[in-house]
Amino acid sequence: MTVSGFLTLKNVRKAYHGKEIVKDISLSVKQGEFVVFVGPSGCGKSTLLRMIAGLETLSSGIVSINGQEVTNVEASKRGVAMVFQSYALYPHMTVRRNMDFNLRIAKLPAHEIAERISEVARILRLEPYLECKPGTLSGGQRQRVAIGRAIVRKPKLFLFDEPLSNLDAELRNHMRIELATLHRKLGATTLYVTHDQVEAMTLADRIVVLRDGDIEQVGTPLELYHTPRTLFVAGFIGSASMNFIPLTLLKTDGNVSHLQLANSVTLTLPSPLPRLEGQIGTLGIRPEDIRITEGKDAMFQGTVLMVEHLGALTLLHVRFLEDITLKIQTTGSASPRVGEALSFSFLPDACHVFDQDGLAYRADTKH
Amino acid sequence: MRLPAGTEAYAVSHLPSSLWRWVILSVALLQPLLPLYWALVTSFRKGSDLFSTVPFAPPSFENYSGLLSNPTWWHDAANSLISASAVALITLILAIPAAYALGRMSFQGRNTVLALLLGCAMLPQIAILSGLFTVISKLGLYNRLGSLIFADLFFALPFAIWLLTGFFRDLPRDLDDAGRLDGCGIMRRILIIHLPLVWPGLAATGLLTFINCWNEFLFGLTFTLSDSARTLPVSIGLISAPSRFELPFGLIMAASLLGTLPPILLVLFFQRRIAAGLTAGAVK
Repeated sequence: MTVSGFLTLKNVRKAYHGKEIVKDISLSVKQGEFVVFVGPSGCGKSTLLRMIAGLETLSSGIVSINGQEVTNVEASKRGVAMVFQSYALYPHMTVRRNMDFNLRIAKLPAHEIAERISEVARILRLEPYLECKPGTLSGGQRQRVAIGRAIVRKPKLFLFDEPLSNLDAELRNHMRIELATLHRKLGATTLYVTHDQVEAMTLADRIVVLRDGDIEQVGTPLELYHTPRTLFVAGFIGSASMNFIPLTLLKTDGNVSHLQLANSVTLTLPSPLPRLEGQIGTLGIRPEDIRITEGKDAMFQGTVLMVEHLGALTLLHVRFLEDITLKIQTTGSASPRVGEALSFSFLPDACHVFDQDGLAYRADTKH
Repeated sequence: MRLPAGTEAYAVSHLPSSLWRWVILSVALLQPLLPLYWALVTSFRKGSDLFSTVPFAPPSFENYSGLLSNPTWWHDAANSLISASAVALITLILAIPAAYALGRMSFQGRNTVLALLLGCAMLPQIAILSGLFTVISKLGLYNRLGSLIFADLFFALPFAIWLLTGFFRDLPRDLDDAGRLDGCGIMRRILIIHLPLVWPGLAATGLLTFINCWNEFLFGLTFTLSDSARTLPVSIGLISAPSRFELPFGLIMAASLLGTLPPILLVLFFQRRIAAGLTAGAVK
């Protein structure tokens, strides 16, 4: 595979004590793109980011930034800036010193340093705190200083390592919007690591889903949402997560397929699945793609186990068949009570079929 | 005011427990303070007054004035000050890079080195005394202050490295990474980022080293012969009276108390700064 772009990774690997943390990753990022690495802890996303930053050596592979290979270039000479989860501000320096530290080491003229600092302080509303020590600032303010320290350098590439995970929920939402606004304003190429799929969905131009050191899928947030390539991506992207039901494919009949769910009820999908005939697999359906229906239209029945009112939405946990708990999302305010029977249908177009190995069946030729 | 029913019983049942607390506290305080009190009282007495049972006899300042007007006393104090300061300084200079490596870099045998260092610091002085004596004689340091500095370093250095390793290790690793991205080489990171952050640890280590050397007796006794290189603890140990039937307790106590003053003043001076430094740092 040939890759070209602003940032390219070519067969990048990292092994540590004989254990492969990053396995043969190739990726290309366009100039100005906001790319989010997402995955559960231990999937190698932070290690990958640190390798791009130059803080971690590669076991093999090539990293290039802006057309230049930087695989063995020192971190400070790669033209990247990084924001750390712990902010990593120098506690004994003022906010101003924290932000201009790098510029003074690079021996920029004093008037230019002052100009850059005042501009960044204005953008991030840090002017009142320039002479404060980080210890006296709140979490959100420290976070802004850490971002400011990255911006003043005018880097070619921004790296964020779980920057919002130390903040409380409200501040996290607020900072997320600030980050998105900032990216639109500066237009700098950005790599962002998080384990939070909401951050990934809202910030990213493209998401890279990582699992056990390997890329599971790359795509825009909606691509990942609508056409997850694997069970893992399907379960990871989207909140509340997708429902999974074991299935057996009975037969494909022209343009429709007859499935059996959990060895009991049958379901007919409006797409042919010839490759899977006679095999077992998994059916995935998102909570928002199940409709509560009345009477004859209903495909299935279940019993309400729990009702979670989220305000605009209500999430129902429904016992389905023998031992399956389905999550069903409704917008209606009239909600069923616990213990009640409930009739519902799956939107046939929104059903995802995965084979035995957890790979999505891509016969729904619309995509 | 009438108390609600049951309150009296509550108050009474708790009286003995608070009483016990005071008893235990008093005993715990008396144990260390009584000898000090005795030393203080004795240092202001002379001759037969030493054996007086009157707790507060009229004080005599003769012991103190005698000591302070004695040039040998000042000379010995200066020796103590020079050797203890030199040891503290050299220890810090040598221990900082060693502790940095042990605390912040991973290399083969790191834990072995740490265990060896702790072992060295635990060794009884007497175990290496004869060996050290030979080395010091060969180096021509006998009866010079250099012999004490040399010998004290054997114990001060491992201890200091061990202490400082902990301080360096506790610094967040992200600070290193941030420094590297900012373009700091390792020397610059140590000098500009790490040392300012561990300075309470440096001050505490330096202070402990200074106090240990200031109080050191065995090496001082063994490696010095004449007044020229004698330190305070040895000098106090050698105080004697004109008559062999008399021990000048008063003088000894006065000398001991004067000798404890510099470390106490140093601790008082640094204590608040160390505490402030320890709490001011940490960004988390």
